[in-house]
Amino acid sequence: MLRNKLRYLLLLAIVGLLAILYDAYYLWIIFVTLLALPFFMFAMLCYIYGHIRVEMLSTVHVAGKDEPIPVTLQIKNPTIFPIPYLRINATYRNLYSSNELAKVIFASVESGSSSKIICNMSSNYAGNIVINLKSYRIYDYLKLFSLKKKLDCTLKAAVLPRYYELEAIDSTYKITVESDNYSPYKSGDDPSEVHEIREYREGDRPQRIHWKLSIKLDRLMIKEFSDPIDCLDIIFISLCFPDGANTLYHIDSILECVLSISYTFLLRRNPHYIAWYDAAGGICRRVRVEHEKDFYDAVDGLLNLKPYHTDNDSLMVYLAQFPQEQYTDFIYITGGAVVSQLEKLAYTKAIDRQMILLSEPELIEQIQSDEDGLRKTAMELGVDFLPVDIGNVKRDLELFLA
Amino acid sequence: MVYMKKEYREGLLINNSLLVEDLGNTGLSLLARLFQLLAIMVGSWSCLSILLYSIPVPARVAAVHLTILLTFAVVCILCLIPSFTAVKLFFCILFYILFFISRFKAIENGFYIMENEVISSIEQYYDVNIGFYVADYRTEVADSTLLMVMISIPVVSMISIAAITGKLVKITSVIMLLPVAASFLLGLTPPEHYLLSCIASVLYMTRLGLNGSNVPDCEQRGKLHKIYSWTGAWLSLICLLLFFIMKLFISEESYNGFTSIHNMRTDIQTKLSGITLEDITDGIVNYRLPEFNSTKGGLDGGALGRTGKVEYDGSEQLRIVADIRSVWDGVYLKGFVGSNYTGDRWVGHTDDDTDDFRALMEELPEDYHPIHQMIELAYNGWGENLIRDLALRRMEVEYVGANKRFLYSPYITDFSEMDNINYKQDLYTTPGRRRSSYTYEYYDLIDMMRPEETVRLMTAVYYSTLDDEYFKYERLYRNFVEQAYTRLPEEGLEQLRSHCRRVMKEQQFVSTEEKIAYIRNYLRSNTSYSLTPGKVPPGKDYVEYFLFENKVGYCSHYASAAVLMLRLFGVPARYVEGYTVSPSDIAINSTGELSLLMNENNLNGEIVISIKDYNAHAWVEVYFDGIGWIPVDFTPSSGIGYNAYSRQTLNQPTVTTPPPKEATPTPVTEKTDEDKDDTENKDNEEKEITQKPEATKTPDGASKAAAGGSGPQSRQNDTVKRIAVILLVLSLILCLPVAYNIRRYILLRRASNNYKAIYLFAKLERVLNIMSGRSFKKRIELEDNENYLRQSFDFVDDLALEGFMNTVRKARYGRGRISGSELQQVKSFYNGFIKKICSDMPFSRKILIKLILLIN
Repeated sequence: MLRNKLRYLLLLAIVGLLAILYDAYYLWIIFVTLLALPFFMFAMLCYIYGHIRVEMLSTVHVAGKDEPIPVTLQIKNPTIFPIPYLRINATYRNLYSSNELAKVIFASVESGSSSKIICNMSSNYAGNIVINLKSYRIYDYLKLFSLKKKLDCTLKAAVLPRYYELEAIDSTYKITVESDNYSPYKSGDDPSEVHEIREYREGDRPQRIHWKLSIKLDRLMIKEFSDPIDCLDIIFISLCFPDGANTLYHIDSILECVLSISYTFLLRRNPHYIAWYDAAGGICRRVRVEHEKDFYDAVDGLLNLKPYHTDNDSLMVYLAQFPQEQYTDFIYITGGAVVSQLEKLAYTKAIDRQMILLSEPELIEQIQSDEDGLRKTAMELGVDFLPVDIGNVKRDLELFLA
Repeated sequence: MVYMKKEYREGLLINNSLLVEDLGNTGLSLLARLFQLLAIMVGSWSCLSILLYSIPVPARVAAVHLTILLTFAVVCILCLIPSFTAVKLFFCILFYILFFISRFKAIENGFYIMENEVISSIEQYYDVNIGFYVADYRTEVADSTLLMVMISIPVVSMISIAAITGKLVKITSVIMLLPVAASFLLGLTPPEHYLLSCIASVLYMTRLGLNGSNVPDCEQRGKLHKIYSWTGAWLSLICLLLFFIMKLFISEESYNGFTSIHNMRTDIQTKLSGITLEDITDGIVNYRLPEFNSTKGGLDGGALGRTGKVEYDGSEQLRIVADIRSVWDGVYLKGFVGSNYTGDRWVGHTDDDTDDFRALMEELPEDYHPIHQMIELAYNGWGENLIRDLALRRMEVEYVGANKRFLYSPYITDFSEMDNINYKQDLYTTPGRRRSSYTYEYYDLIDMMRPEETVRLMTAVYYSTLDDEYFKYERLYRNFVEQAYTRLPEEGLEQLRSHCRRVMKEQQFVSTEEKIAYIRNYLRSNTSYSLTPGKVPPGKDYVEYFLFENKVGYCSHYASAAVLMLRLFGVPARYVEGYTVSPSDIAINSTGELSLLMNENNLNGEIVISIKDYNAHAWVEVYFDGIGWIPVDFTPSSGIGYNAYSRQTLNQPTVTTPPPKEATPTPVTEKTDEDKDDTENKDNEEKEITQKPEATKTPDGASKAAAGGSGPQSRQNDTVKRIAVILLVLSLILCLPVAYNIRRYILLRRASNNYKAIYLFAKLERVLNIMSGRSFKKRIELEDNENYLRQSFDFVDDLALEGFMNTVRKARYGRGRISGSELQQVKSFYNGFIKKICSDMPFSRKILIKLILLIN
């Protein structure tokens, strides 16, 4: 714009010089016109500025990774003057990241009409994507002046992480624990509750024969015991990873891991908890995942988490919040593992405890090669230590869980 | 809406194109189309009309207009059919070229006719002699028309294409403004309606040129074109509207009434038109650091050089050809006249005085101007037989080195018959169009040796004249003179004022002549003439320092002091600058038959006199009631009244007292005719050499060899040397990168394939750093570059990239050498990438990238 102003001054100087050197009345008028023109342009700009409206809309609030999120900018110009130069300043970020990125969009709008600018955004990583329309700037026809208007229009869209069924997870290896909740779908071995009574089939055990009903009905009837379905498994997430690492990449991998395991459990009709440490509030939150709706609730909760780089308290806080509970599997998923976490994990009342560490291949190699490090400690504490390459979550999970 | 580059930042990807859905009407509306057509027609018509106006070829205007219409129609039809653009263009150009070839002779003749018109205009305006082309004027109309038609076709085509498609806008705008520039350069102002139309069309075009040509989508480009079309239309309309509103507010009458604007314009015009290349080179050559306080001889339009010494180099300023009789007693050529003293210069009238003069001129008849006052009186005197000889003499003055801003003319020149003369009120005249020579007709009325005789004679004429109108007009003018030419600066000059008040009380002057005589005596007695008076200390007044402290000065000092003293005595007076030629100067500097000069009985014929810089002089004009302005020279040892002292004498080392007024001219040795032809020029040269000022002592005792190295030839040599040094330095600066690149090329040719591959990759990395904004210092891994290339550039083929990177890795880390085909693969990837990148970039960024690659 400064360049345009200098050009205009040069033009003014040339016309002024011509008006001086050549004695023509109209040349002076042209010179005076050129002097007055910028003021007129500014007045016109003010008029347009007072009438223009810019809005941001989006119809998509949830998308998967690499799926387009169409963002629409609607610019309304009710004036009779077209707007050839309009500069819109927007920012966008993934809430997991602290970096806010800026984007400038140039637009033009015809007089007395509206323009829609649709741009598609997509994210490589999971998270809440926030797009903020900061301001827009209108320029006059000669680009000598501009007026800026601040806006505060925010749009939020959730990008879900990728998750899949882990074939290797077998639901039948669970050990039954006492529970007051029973599965309505399948029978188990808990004699305290009868799941259903049915006719005898070959192979049924004689101890299961309901003698009273059999005499009454004059045919053999078998009682099926219930299967207690209290949450035997818990997936505890610690959004912790080393400082300097690619935040989004790590979180994305952690979420992929968590949700894949949870999804698999869901498919296996295995109710479980997903719990996480909310560093902002200093408490642990958990969601009981039994249906798909619960799963998405958990996803929503996870997407709103804030990551952190040192984790010493998360397990302690959880144990303090839920002290008496027992689990079949306590799966602790983290991006930055330390020995203290292993020790705390060992205190949990679970039959099996697993720590899944998602990290860079180099670090994993280092851990694997370090015989006196985490692996040894985990073994001594009775914790299954599973290092997972963040670039190959599925492969490593399937491998280790098989 | 603009094309947006693909960006992948923090995992977020913004798609590389935007879709603009215009909720209004699509396509150019009827009104917009009409405006577009109007812009094309008006732009073409105005541009070609200005061309015809500037270069008045005898072409048929109707044919040109018809060509405009037809060309526009054809181009519109072709543009509306979107396909086969290359084919259409090819055939159009082919037909044009074929037609051009078939009528080449006629077009060539037309071209020469046009060239001759241009040359004629240039010669007339710039007063140069170029020479014409040979052309056949028997068919001038037909050939000129044909030429104009051939010019019109491409011009109209370009304007139409630019307006319809938005392409070639910049070049079209330049072409449309070329005739405007040409007309101004030839000293013509195009008619108002032509110029306005042209400007309006150009304004419309310039907005079209901002069409997003880098937008890949055709539909989007069309939408943008529509918006910019309307923008251009609005801008043109607003400008036109403002123009007419301004015209309403500032009418031509009120514009002409703004005296200050006219004065300022005239002053600036005069100053600007006086600047030549010589002035600029002289300015460079003569530039001195502040401690140098000398000026070269000559005149400076009233500026009182506050310097310590004046130098002469004998450079020729004017060359006059005049009747011997009129110049035998010497001649004064009047140039600049100043009426107001500012302390360090004499300037023209104040704004109030200018307004008063304008009012006075309205009262005076059209053919009466104060500058010709004495001619009027002389005719009255001649009619009364009081003046016997009122012959009109002729003098041709040729400018060699003198300032062309002023007309150096003898007393009393009749300017009324001269063309292109501007009157600077009643002060002096300037040329309307500067030339290298002027011919003046003048009345040799004033006896510069005895101005009092002239006063006496003209006073008698005045009182005898029966011209009542002369009395009336002279009285009106006299009132103005008494008001304007007795004014002194409001502040300062206290010492001079008190001195003059005292003198007035003591002397009890009766007449103007007494006052003049007193001032002359006072100056002669109390001051000395010197070309090296020393610098005026800061805070001191120029005249007061001369009169009361330093008491040493040259003609400007004397003239300025005399004017101020006269004004304090109540006598209207003004400061004059010009050139004077004394009889000894004529003898020394003239070319011609010297014997004619020396023989008073044979004062017939014309003589050519060379006027040098040391002939520059300042004197005073005093107004005598009823008569007008009479020149009076107050400088002792100067003027033609003091012929014993030539310029040579004035430049002697010692400061001498001026000779008495009655000194006779120094006799010059008479030469015979035999010697005359052989030795005339030689003598002139010798005497010119001796004329050069020798070392003079400045007040502080420092001496200066004025002659050595300060002649015109040496000054020219200095200029040439400086220019040569500047050119040499520039060449070195330009050659360095070229030499560097040559050296690098030679080294690269000898380098191994591995080195070449790594080198190419390094260049590519540099480009990637610029595009991504990464720091050059930060180490970036090969993988990072590869990822960046893969993610940020759609056009990069993965396979090619993989091959490229593998070869680079092999070149960098491998033990073996890469083969020629691998190097070729690297080269082709690199070249393809750079080419694609540069084609998508704005021009400035492209240049930057190329520069970086060149320097790297």
